[in-house]
Amino acid sequence: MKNGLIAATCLCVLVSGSAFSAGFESLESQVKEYRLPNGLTFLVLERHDAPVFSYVTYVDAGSVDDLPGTTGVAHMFEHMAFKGTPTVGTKDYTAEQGAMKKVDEAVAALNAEQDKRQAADSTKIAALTAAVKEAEKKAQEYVISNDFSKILEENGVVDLNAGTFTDWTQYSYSLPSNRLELWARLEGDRLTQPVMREYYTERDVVYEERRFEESSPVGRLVSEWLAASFDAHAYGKDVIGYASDLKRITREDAWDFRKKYYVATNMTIAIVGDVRFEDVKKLADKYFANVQAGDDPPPLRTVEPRHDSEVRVIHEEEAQPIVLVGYHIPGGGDPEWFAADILSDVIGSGRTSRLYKRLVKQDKIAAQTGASAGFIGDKYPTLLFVQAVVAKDATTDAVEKAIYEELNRVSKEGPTADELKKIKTRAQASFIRSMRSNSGLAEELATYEEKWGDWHKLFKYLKALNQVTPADVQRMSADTFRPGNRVVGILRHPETAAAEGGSK
Amino acid sequence: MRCTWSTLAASLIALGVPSLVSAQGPWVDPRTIPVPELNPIPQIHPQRVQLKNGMIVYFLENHEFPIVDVQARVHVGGIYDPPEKVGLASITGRVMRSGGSTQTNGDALDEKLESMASSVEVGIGDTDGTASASTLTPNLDQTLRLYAQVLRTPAFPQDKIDLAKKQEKTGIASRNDEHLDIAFRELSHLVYGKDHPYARETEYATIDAITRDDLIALHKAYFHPDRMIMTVYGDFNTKKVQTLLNQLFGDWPKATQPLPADPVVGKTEAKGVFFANKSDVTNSVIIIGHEGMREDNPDYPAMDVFHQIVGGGFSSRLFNDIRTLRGLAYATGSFLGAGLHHPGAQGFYVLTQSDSTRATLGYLRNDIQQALTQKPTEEELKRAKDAMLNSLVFTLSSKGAVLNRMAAYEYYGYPADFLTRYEKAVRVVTADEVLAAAKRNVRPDGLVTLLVGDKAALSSQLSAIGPMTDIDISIPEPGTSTVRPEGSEADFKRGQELLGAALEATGGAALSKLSDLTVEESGTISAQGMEIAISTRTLSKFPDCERSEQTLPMGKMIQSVCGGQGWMDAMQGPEDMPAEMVAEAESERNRQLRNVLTAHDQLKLQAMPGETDVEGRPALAVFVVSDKVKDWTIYVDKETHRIVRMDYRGRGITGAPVMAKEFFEDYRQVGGIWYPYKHRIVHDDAPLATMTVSSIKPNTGLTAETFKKP
Repeated sequence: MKNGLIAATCLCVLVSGSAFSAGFESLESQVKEYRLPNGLTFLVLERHDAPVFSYVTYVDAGSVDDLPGTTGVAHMFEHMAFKGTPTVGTKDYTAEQGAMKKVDEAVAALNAEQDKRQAADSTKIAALTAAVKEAEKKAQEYVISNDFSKILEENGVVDLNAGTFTDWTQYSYSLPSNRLELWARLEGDRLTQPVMREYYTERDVVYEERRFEESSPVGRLVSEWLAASFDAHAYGKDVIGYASDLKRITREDAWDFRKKYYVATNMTIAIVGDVRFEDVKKLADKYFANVQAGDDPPPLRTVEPRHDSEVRVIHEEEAQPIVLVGYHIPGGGDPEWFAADILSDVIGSGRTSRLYKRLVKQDKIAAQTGASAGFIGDKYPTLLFVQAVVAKDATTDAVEKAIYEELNRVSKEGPTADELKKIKTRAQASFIRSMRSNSGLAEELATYEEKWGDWHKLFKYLKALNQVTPADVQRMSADTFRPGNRVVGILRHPETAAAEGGSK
Repeated sequence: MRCTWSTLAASLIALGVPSLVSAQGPWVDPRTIPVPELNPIPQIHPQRVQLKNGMIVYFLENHEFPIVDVQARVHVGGIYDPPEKVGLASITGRVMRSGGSTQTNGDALDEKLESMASSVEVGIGDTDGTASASTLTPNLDQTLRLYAQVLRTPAFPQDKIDLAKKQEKTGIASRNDEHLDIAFRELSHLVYGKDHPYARETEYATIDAITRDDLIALHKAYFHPDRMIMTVYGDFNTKKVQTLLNQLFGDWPKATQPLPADPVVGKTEAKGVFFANKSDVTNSVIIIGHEGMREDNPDYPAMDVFHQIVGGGFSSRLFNDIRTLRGLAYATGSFLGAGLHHPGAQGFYVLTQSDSTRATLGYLRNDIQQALTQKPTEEELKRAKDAMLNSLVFTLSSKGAVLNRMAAYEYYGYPADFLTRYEKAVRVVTADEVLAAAKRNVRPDGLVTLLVGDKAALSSQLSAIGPMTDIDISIPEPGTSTVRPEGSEADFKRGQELLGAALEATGGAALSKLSDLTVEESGTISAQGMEIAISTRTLSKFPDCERSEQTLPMGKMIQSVCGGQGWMDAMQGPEDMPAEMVAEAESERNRQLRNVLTAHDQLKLQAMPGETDVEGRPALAVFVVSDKVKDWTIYVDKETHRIVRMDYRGRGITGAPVMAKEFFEDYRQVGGIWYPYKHRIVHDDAPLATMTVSSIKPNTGLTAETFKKP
């Protein structure tokens, strides 16, 4: 997933009280658990409607776990997970290992010279860079490109995917159900012994991805706004890593990350579809027994301190003006979370939201509006973010002013009972629809088990949200929407600044 | 392998777990893992009911989730559009939803559905229309009511019709953007015949011809309960919903007009090689094909297997030969073109670099010939069947999907167990049977060849390819829409006089003698609801060189045309300008004020009767009778005699044709000539751009160098 103006997946799940189908309520009782001695947890839900299954491997690690100097490594490792293992993707693993070692040595020599900084010899750098390319070419001779993906394609894979975000890394795909053992063979293998092949080529690809994101003015604003929103906590970092780090993270860095975080107790695998629990257990024993055991890595200890001073990030460029405002709110594990989630819907979800009605329909000063709780993660205390695309002839000042007026109205009066009802209905619908698909349900189960520690909580979420009252939302609004708690991001034309007597 | 073992052993010892695995461990070659027989696709047992009004409804309850999905298939389609109004059915479908019903207009419908988290959608394709709804159980009643409204009493408001037409026209304008799209489209024309209902396109003229009455008439003729099959799937009670459907649709009258006959598809008649030129590509599309078949053809399962083997994915013959072995294909494959309703187009294709077009064509022909003589190996057969049954599994991966497929079979007149029969047939078909079917259904002498690519780049290969017929893919412009009286000689004389006076008022001889002009302007462009700042510099060396530089927020773009040639830089480095663009630029130059004025005696100018008002001042209209520019009217200020407005049919930002209006204001004198310092452009009555001059430099001595490609 990339940075940018995306609303984070908000698990807005609310019940309007009654009508749950009998089948849905018994879903919880159909989920089965299996835990290996090394600590790896499997969740299985049998669904024999169609001969297919989906799985998700959820790792409780993401870009927030990158260390300074090696940002981007969580994401890099995820790319590596498709390059194969000692038995997939290589013509001769022993020989290849030797060749990869030579690449590492060449890279180390290049890094050593670069670390001389101003004293570095540019001719030497050029030669060392060429040497690295040469060593990579030699190592490449042993590689069977895309072997992993090809095997899956031959077997009818659908939605082959992986993603790295702040709080998590996920791997998923769907297969016809007679490929269950193939799945176990491949997934068990790459969780047990991934090989970091084609690493530096891939690092270049990721670097280009980053440059592409940088080319958008909005992307640049969001990046700096996010950094300004978090003084201490790692949510302020770019998921894809800083450009300078991306030029230097080595295979060893990625391997160190893996050693620490890809520990059996730090992952959950959920499988939903036409499979038998007994078969999954047998395959788990056979193919996942040697996933590295070890201590569960600790969560981040740094908590973002309370904000009491408004922060403003202004970016001037000839581009579509926008206004972003972020407010600090509790994380997803906090009992207050549900009120914050609903609050963001009241403010900014859909055409009947407060911001849409005021800024788009009434004042016509915005072309689009939105709000979302849990940007840019929800495992830790996070942000409720509000956005508006400024309409032609309108100013960012007018948009800002109108936003605060609407937020203050909610703080004073709270949402109406009717608003709450509609929001709960929509959230219920989106929750149910995501559970309907094998892959959607697999993702929810794995996420709840690994991030929140207990998959049963998935089935309690609906009830918890349904208990939120207008007063709860109003209180959350008053606590959250204070000027000292906000970080404002503005993208505006340079003329505006000149007109206001500001400097560029 | 040794490394793996020692790693494993080490970690096992550390865990204290006895070694479960052999030296190799469980890590056998993944391609040798046993794959048991695939479980069958879901068996469902819906309840089929026919209401008194003729509507057929399939009910399938599933209480796993509190959702209900409704889908209705209606017997209507683009194939029934009159030829001069192609696109009518498609637009009708769109506006049925966007415009809402007479009881609940489009915006109100959007809001109501949003607050219930329900959806209602309508669309009409070539051979059927679908209307669907999805809702949470508690909102079923409300949602079905709105759904029934949309189906029975659509409002068809004019503004939504206009919007749908605009969207359709944007689609037309971009239909030659991608050469793969061109190729498959033109193949249809060759396979069916140019104006056949299964091949014809919407055109600007056919969209323009569609009226609100047409939509109303279409809806009235086709949307009736006895022309629909509906499915209801999910968490509901069959009896209750049946009652509700009777309430909502029971009094809907049956159809009175008979259905038109469906078009007939025969064997492809086109023969030989056809070429469609697209000059801005570096590769060619080659397709060889002819008619396909209906799915109820007994050879369908075997032919599906045939095409999977020959051209279905990276294990196929075409892929292995033309791509893997010879490295000549960006993409290659084949398709059967089987349809439930009518035969599609069957074919074999390759996307290859321009340079290798001729060679690749040869290999493709060889591979087709081989496919018709060499029967599949057992391995090929097994792999193909596997792949096909795998994908079948995912298209029918829910009971709801199976239900809708069942309804489709009834709609198209297929037996209910058609899919099961197909699945069985695929499983048991032999290599001999596949080859035999191929021989029956692929006619080597009946195959037609289509090439789409840059003809200029292929010039050295053309003679080797042999004789070919060129296809004109240019998008027909709409006809003129200006209504004007027949012009008399006096009208044309007066037109010349008016423009003569305009020339004098704008600089006269100084204007005619102007050798070059450099103008800098700045302003804004409105696009997609946003305002974009733009500044431009235009250098003109009269009569036929012009270079325009545009600075936008995203970067700088340059276009330069001189003496029939041009180049451009759209932030990707200088490139030659395609011939069509050069022609377009030259056409625009015909409309330039200076050229219009100094060459007015070469134009046929018809003075229009009466007076008009341009920005509050009286003006006189002069119509230009021209082949090059349509609907071109020049407005001259009655007092100052200068040109203050010009209307013409041009191109919008999306490439679709638009009615353009340009306004010229704030004339000031610069070195003997008069120049409008403010310039506004309006497209289809929506403001597009406003520009203000910041500097003008006449006669600075520009040379041909300025316009040369760097």
